[in-house]
Amino acid sequence: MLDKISISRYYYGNSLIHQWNPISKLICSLCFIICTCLIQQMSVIILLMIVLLLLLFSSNIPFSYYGKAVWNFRYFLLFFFLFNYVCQMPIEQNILLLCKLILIGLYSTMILFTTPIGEFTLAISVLLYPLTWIHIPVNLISRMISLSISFLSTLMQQANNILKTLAVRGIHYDSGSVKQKLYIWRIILLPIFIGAFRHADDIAYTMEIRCYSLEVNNQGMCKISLRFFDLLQLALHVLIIVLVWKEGML
Amino acid sequence: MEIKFNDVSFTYNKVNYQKKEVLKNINVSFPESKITGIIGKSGSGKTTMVELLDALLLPSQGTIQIGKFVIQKQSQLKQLNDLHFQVGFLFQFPEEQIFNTTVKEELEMGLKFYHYKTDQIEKRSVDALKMVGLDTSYLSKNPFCLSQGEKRKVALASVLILNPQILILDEPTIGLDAESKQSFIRLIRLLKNRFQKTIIIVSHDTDFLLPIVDYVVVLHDKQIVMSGDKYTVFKQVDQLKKYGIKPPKVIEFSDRVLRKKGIKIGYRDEINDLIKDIYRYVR
Repeated sequence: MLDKISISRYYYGNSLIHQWNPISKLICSLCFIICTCLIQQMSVIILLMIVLLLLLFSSNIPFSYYGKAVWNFRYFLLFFFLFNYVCQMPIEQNILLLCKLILIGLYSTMILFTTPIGEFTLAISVLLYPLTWIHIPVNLISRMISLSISFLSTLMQQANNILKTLAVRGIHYDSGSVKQKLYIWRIILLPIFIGAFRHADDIAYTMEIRCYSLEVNNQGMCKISLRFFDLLQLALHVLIIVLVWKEGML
Repeated sequence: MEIKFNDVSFTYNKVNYQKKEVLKNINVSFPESKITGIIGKSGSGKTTMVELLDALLLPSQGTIQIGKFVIQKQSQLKQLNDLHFQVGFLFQFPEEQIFNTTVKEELEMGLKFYHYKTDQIEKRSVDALKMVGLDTSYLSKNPFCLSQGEKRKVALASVLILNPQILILDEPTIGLDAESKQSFIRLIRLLKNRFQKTIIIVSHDTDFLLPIVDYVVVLHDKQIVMSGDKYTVFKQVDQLKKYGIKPPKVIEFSDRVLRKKGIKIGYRDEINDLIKDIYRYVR
């Protein structure tokens, strides 16, 4: 069951997308998501899909992984579709919305698959740096975001161990009925949360021992430079926004 | 109930989305009502091998025969549900996988799931507790408030309550003090001698394994490189060191005395027996 969760998983690689500057990557994702949300025509969605497919192709990650990631959201998409249908939304618009959701899902999956958590933190703290002028603890926020994302896989591991313990006592999650699944979730939530708090304590102590301080600006720990590919990506994403704007599709 | 691995290989598909072969062409059998130790350095595939035994993982190739059960790639979990009543598994740090607020609830969980009758559940709970050397007063205690050794015994009792014929213990003494370790050794011996269980122990600690196991299997680089009677395996001190395994101190000492002084004092399980042998020799 837990193998299906793809969030916070990094796929090791050395493709162009892996080497893409994380700051530029985050800015581009933001552009892409805003653009996708505002589009009203199917032809533009198809155009964006082609751009996205090119990006996915250059990430050197098997397409089946992206497929699985989207497949895991099938119930959410189905619920969304049915809800809109019941609310009497025209079918064309409903399909358009689904396409938008799939596009955003695929793009964010690509970003998560190709960006190590450390680079993610750095990019967030660099992008939010201006907020420090109004005394907002940017380092703290970025560290919290990155720890939360990386913590998900730890929680999954913990849950997996508990499910294995239950399996050896004859309690199988995968082969059980819905009632049994609910019973299992009731059982495993307590140890997962106890384990999570204990693990959080360990991380906090480890960070303290290693002299990690949130007051210190740690952006200098990792140097990131803008390369030709990063500029090209930024230009491409700006071009997408301009094109969409020019065609009056917003 | 005999256990037999027939040309078993296993590959993880999900380690950072990359395939990783952990076991390759394993052919081994574990004798009935005996204790077998599986040793090997970290990452040699010991835990994977025992997880395959309880169908927590399914082999990528080959079959595992456990009595009437056959575990293979195409096996369905529903078909193997009964297997968990035959094979009990105690994980590393089992005390971290306690779910309930009383020992009674902890023990009864598996049986309640299968709608066993209340009187049957109660009888089995008491029996399981007795097996691990705890009395019935523990039933009402909070398992989180017990000592490390006691928690481990409760975890073992919740596996034994299903009355498995095969018992798998993954690093059972890790994190235990010397006294709890000795108590655990006595318990394992009791399970084998009185209840005729087939026991498989995965451990790095060869000093702990020597006095209790009958057979030893050595895993190295995805494959079984040595197997057989414990003395046959453990006395090959140089080979064990080559595979990154520390031989038992008692055996290593006897081996060194034989090599350097040419004195044969024989192989013993316990240090006390060895001391007696030396004393006898000196006299």
